[in-house]
Amino acid sequence: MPATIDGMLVDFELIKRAQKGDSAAFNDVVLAYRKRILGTIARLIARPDDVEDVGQEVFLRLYFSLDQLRSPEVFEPWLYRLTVNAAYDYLRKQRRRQESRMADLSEQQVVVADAVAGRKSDQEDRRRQQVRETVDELLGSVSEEDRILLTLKEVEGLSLKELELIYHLNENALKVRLFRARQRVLKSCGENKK
Amino acid sequence: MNESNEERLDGLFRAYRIACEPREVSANFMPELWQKIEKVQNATFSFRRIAKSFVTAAAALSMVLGAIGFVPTRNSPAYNVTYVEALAAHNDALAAHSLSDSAEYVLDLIHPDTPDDGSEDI
Repeated sequence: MPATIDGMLVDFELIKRAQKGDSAAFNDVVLAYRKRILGTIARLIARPDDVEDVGQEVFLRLYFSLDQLRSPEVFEPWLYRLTVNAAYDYLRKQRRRQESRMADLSEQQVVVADAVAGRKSDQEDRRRQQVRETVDELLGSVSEEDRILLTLKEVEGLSLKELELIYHLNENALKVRLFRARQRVLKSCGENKK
Repeated sequence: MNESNEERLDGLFRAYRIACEPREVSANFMPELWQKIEKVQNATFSFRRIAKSFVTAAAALSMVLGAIGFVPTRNSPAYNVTYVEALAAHNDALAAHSLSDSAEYVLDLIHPDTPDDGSEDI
């Protein structure tokens, strides 16, 4: 059995040690993955202020559920599943608080835009900022499910195999869901243009 | 038209992927995470301790009640004889009672005017 698989940031041995309750090993796993997971969360929830809280929630759940992991080979899909679930929980709580995400997003965009302007950033920074705003707005106009699925597939670059493990769905069902999600984004895009 | 929209969407996602800079993680991330882990562990430990105490108390109470139920009460005549002996004694008592009733009945037949207490009317 290989000690790791492509794309994994840690080897199987470290995961096994963490599973056995080795705190130092768990610490190393978190250090290896936190940047990637926080990036994913940032794109899933589009609320920079709460990204670290949600990230800590993900690793907290990982700590207390690591012993249920069947084999280290499926560690990453497992971690992504925890991330997606934590993002869903966060978004549900936000919805319960009756906060309009689109309104927040606009406010947040204004703050970021001000900061960008304040720093007198160069043209490339502004262009990137514009792309982020456009896609955030586009993904914000569809459901949480569509947003998360599309972010994982199109932005995080997860394969259909990895998504199968995360969603516990077969490839065909995932393709249908992805297709429909894309159609809804395109429709929303068309409506925005009008 | 649809195809070009799909292509544009793909291009937009690609640009978004590039535009999303890697996040800087704050220095407090790991200490706060371990604090949260310890907090949950302590809460779980407290709950387990309470549950354990409760189970111990319940077991002790059960043992005490069981002991009270099973220890025979001293000086109780009911526990000095066996069931068979008690049944035999009960049957004897019944038989003696019915015998005396029969004797009274025969006496009544022979001397119907004789009062039960044996005193005569003046």
